[in-house]
Amino acid sequence: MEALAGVTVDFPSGRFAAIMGPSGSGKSTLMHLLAGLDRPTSGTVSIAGVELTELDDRALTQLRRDRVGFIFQTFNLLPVLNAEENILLPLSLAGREVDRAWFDRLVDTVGIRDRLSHRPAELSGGQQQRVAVARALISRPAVVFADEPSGNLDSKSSGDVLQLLRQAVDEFSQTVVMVTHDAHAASFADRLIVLADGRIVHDGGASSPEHALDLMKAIGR
Amino acid sequence: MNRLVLRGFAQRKVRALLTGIAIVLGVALMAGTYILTDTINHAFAEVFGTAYKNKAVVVTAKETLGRKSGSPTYAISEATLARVRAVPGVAAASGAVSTRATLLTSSGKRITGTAPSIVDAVQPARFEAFTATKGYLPRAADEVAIDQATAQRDHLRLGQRLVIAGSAPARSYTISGIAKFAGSESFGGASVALLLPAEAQYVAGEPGEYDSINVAASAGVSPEQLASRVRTALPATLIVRTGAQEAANQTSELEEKLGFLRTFLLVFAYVALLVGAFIIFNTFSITVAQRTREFGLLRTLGASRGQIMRSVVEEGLLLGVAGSLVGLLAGIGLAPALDGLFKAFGADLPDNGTVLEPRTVIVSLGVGIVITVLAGFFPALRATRVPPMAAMREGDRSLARRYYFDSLRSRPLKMKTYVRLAWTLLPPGMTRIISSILSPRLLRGLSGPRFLNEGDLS
Repeated sequence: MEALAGVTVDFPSGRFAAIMGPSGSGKSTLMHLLAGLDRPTSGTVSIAGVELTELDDRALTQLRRDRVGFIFQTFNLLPVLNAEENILLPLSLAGREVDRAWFDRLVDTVGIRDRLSHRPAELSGGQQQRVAVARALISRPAVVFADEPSGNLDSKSSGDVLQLLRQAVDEFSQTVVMVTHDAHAASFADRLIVLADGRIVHDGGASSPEHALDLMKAIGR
Repeated sequence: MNRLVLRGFAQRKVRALLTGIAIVLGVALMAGTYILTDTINHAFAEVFGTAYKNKAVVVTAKETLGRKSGSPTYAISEATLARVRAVPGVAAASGAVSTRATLLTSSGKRITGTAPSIVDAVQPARFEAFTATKGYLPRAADEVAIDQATAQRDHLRLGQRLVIAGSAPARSYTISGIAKFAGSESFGGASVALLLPAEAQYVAGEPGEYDSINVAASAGVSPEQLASRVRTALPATLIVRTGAQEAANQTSELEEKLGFLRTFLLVFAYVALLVGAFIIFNTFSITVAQRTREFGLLRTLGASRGQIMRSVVEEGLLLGVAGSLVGLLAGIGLAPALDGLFKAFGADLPDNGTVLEPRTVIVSLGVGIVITVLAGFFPALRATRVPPMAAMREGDRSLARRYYFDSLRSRPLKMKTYVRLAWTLLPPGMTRIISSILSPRLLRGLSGPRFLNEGDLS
C-alpha cells in the first residue's frame, strides 16, 4: 500500500496553493515530504533548488530552519514563551540577528502588537494562530507550509488567518502551500490540487468554495 | 534556547523541587560528614597540641597496649626515668601511666560512657593537661580527680568515694577534684580518673613501671636537640619524639580511627545520591516523554539534535547546581546535628568550631552536579530521537503516549529494584558496614550501652 504514487507537482514561488482531499488521500504525507519532515521511499523533492532527499539530518534541519515556515492546526506555540519570543524562536534557534523592521511589519500585519508580552495561554485561538503566522514568516522562508491552519478556529478567526496568508502572498510574494479539507479555506488560494488515493485527481486555478465542494463530491466521499 | 530551559525549569518547578530534594539530601549528608569529621579531627589536633605544649620530648615504649595481649613490651622503669633526668638539657622529667580500669561509685554502680574508662597518673603542673575546675588534682594516695563530663553525667561530687578496679584488687578513693582536659569539656567521651603515679601503677598492675616519660627542656635547648640527646641515652626499644611530633602522631592515629566514622556516614550519602540519580533519571524520562510534541516542534522549526540535547542536559545541570548548593548549605547545618546525635549516644566529641575545608565544597558540589547531569544524560539522548513529525500529529496524543509507555517499560519500576541495584553497586566493605548497623549486637549497644562489656566498642 502506497500513500502517494506518481505524484509530480511544482509550486512556483510567490503563489498560494491549496491541497485538498479526503482522509487517507495522502495530502498530509505529501506535505510532510515537501517540507522535509519525512523521506520518500522513491522519488525526489527539492525546495528552492536544494534536493532534500540527498540531505542528512543536520542539513535537513538547517534547511527547515532557514528556508521553510510552518503553521499548524493546533498553533503549536511554546507555552513558556510569550508571543514575541515565539515569533522570534526560529531566529533564536538559528542564532540569527532579528530584522526589527521586518518584525515590526509582521507584527502590525498580523495585528498582535498589543499582545506581544502575553503567553499563548492568555491569547485566543485566532490570536495564537496569528502569532504562528508571524513565526512562520519571520525568517523569510522560501515556502510556508500550512497544515489545516483554520481547522481549530471559528469562522471569523478562520477568515482572518486565511486573509493573512493571502496577504503574505500578495504583499510579500510569499510562497504558501496549504493542506485543508475546508472548501472555503481552499477558495483563498490561487491554485487547487485535489488528491485521492495517493494520486492527483485535479490541478487547476483558483476555485470558488462551491466548485471545490463539487470536486470533493465527485471523488465520492 | 537558554531562556526556554530556564522558563521550562520554572514551569516544572514543583517537579524540579521534588527531584532536587534527592540531590539535596545526598549532598547534605556528604558535606555534613566531611564537615563533622574535619571538625572532630581539627578539635583533637588542637586538644593534643595543647596537651603536649609543655612537653619538649616524650619517651614511649613500643606497643604500650600490647601488654594486655601478651606480646613482648618494653615497659619504662624508674631506672630509665633516672637516666633521662641525667641527660644534659633536661629541666624536668616525669613518668606517666595510662591504663584502662573500671570505675564504680561507692554503692557499686558502674560509671560508663560509650568510650572506655581510663586511669591516668597525675603529672607535675608543667606537664599536666588536666586542670582542676573544682577542688584540686590528687595530692594523697587515696585521692582521685574525675573529668568534668563524667562528673556531670553521673552526678559525682567532691568528697564522694570512687572505687577503681584494674589489673589489681579494687581500691577506694575520695574525689578531691573535678578536672578539665586541655580546655575541652571532655576527652572524647572517655571517663578519666587521675591518681598519683604510684596508685595508677597499682591499678595497671605494674608497680614501678611507666608507659611514657614527659621531658621539659632547659632554656636554650630546642626540643629537637633534646630529643636526639635523650635518644642516644636510651635503648632503641624506646621511642623518643618531640612533643609536637607526638601530638601530630596521636592526631593522625585518631584520624585513622575516625576514618571508619567517615566511611560509615559517606555510605549513606552515596546511597542517597544513587537513589537520587535514579529518581532524576525517572523524572527526566517522564518529562521528556511528555514533551515529545514540544521537541518535535523545535525540531520542525529547525532546532538541531545538539540543541535539544543541550536543553535537557542544561536543565539537569541547573538542577544539579541548585540542588548541590542547597545541599552544601544544608550539610553545614547538618554537621552540628550529627554531632548532637553522637552526643546523645554519649560519644562526646570535642567541638572547637566548624571546619569547612575547600575539599568539602569541591567534592560535595562536584559529585552532586556530576551525578545529576549523568542521570539526565540518557533521557536527553532520548529527547534527541524525537522526530520532527511528532509535532505534526495534530490533536493526536498517541505518539506522546507511545513515547511515555516506552520510557516506562525501559526503566525498572519498583523502589525495591533501585535499592537492590544500589546495594550491588556499593563496594563490599560498605555493605558490610551497613549490615553491621542492623546487626543485633550493635542495636543492643545503641539501646543500652550499660550492658556492653568493656572494650566492645573499642
